[in-house]
Amino acid sequence: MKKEIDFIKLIKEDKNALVNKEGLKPLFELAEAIRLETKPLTKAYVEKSLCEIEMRIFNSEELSTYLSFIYYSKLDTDTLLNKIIASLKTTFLSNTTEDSVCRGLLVRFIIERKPDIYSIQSLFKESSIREKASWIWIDCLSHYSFSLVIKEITTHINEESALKNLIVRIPTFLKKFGKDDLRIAIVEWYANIENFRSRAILDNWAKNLNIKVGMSISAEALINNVPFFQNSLMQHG
Amino acid sequence: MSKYDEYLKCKCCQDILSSEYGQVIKNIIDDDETYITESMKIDLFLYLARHDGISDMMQYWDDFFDHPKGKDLSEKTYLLKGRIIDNSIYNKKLGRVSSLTGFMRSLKTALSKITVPISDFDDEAFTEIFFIEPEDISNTSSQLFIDYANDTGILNFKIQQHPMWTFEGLDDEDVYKGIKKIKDLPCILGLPGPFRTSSDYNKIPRITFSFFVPKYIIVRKPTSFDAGYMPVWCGGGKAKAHKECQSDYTEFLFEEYIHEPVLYKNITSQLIKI
Repeated sequence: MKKEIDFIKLIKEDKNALVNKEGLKPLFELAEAIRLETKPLTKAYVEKSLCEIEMRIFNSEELSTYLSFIYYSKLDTDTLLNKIIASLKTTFLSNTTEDSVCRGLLVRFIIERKPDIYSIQSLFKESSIREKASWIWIDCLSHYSFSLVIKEITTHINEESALKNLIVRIPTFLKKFGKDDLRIAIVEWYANIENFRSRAILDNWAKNLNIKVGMSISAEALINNVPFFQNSLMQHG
Repeated sequence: MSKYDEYLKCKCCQDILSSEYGQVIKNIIDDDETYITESMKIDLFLYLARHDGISDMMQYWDDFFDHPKGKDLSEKTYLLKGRIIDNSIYNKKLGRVSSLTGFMRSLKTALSKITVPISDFDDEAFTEIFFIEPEDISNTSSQLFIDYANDTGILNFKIQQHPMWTFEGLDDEDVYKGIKKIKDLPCILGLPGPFRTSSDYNKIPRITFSFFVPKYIIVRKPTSFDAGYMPVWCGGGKAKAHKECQSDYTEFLFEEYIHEPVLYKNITSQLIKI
C-alpha cells in the first residue's frame, strides 16, 4: 500500500507531477496496475485520495492528466462523478478561456459516462464553454444529437484548425453515428468549406472510409432535389 | 563477490537484492564497463544508499536516470550510452511493441499541441479504425494512420518522449516474417508487466508496428542503465523470451536496440493489435 500512498502524495504535492510528460510514465504504470487489479489497493481508498487531490486548483493540462488517470485506472465511480458534478457549482465559473476549457473537460467527463444525469438544456446553458472551448462543447453535444453537431461544426468549419479538429474526431463520429450519418455530415461540411485544399483533405477522408462525396454525391443530391447539396455542386463546377 | 560489495551493504540495496527486483543490481554489476563505467555504477549505488526508506523505489530509480531533469535525451548523463550500431541499421525496418495506453497517451499529447484533443473515452473508436488484427496485415492499408497523422499535423512529432526500445526482425524488409504468431511478441521479447517484472506481462494490451530509423538518430545496444528498475531485462544484446514461449522460439531470438524516439512519419506498417 505504501507505494500508492507515495504516489498519491506525489500527485498532490508536486506541482509538476501532472504536467511533466516524461514523469507521467510511472503515473500511468500505476493506472495500468490499478486497472488490471494487480495491486492490492481498494477502490474506496483511491477514491478518497483522488477526492483529496481534487481540492487543489487545476489548470487545464493538469486537469486533463488527472481525468486520464481516473479513466485509465477505471476509477470513474459514481462517488467521483457526483463529486465532480457538485464541483461545477463552485469551480471554473469565470469566463476566461482557461476556466472554460477546465469546465468543459469536467462536463465532457460527466456526459460521457452519464448523459442522462446532465441534460442537453444544461449543456446549452454552458455558453462560455461553447464560445471559448467550442470543440469540447461539440464533443459534449455529440452525446445527444448528431444533427446538432453537424450544424455546430458547420458554423466553425472555416476557422483556423477546424479541419484538424474535425479529422481528429472522425473515428469517434464514425463509431457513434455510423457511416450513413457521417456521409450526410461530410457532404454538409464539404459544401461549406471555402478552402480548396481543406476540401481535398475531407474528400480523401471520405474515400478512406469508403464514403462517396464530391461530384457523385452532388449529382445524387441534385436528382433528389435536396437544396443544400446545390451549394456543393456549384462549388465543384 | 564483486568490487561493488561495499556499496551494496546499505539497507536499500540489500532490500532490492532480496526482492524480485534483485536482478537489476546484478545486471548493473555485470554490465560492460566500456559503456557503463565503474564511476557511473558507484554514482547509482551511492544514490541508492541515500534512499529514505519510504518513497517509491521505482520512482526513485527513474529520477536517477532522468538526470539532469528537463534536459533532452541526448543530454542525459546515464541513458543511451550503449554500443553504437553501424550504419547498416538504417537500411532495415525495425519493430516496436508499445502498450496501447502508452501509444494513445503519446498520440494525444502530440494532438494536444495542434488540436483540442478527443477524450480518453474515444480511444475505443480510434482503436477500431486504426488498429488491425495480425491476420489483416495483407488486406489493409498502412496509409490510413499516416493520413491521419498528416492531416492532423502531427506527422513530424515524436511518437513518445522517452527512449524507444526496438527489435530487429528476422527479415530486413518484413519485421514480422518468420514469427509464428505476432501476438506472441510480448513473450518472445520478454516484455515486462505493469510493475516491470514478468508478472502479468500478458495482461497489458499492446500494439506493434514497424518503422525506419532516420539517419540522424543514433541506434545503440541497451545497457543496464537504460533498463533501470526492470528485472526482466538481461544483458547480451538480445531480448530474452519468457519461459512460456521458449519451447516455440529460441530463448534469445531478436536483436534489441534503444534510441531516441522516431517520428510518426517513420512508421511503415499498420498499427497491429497484439
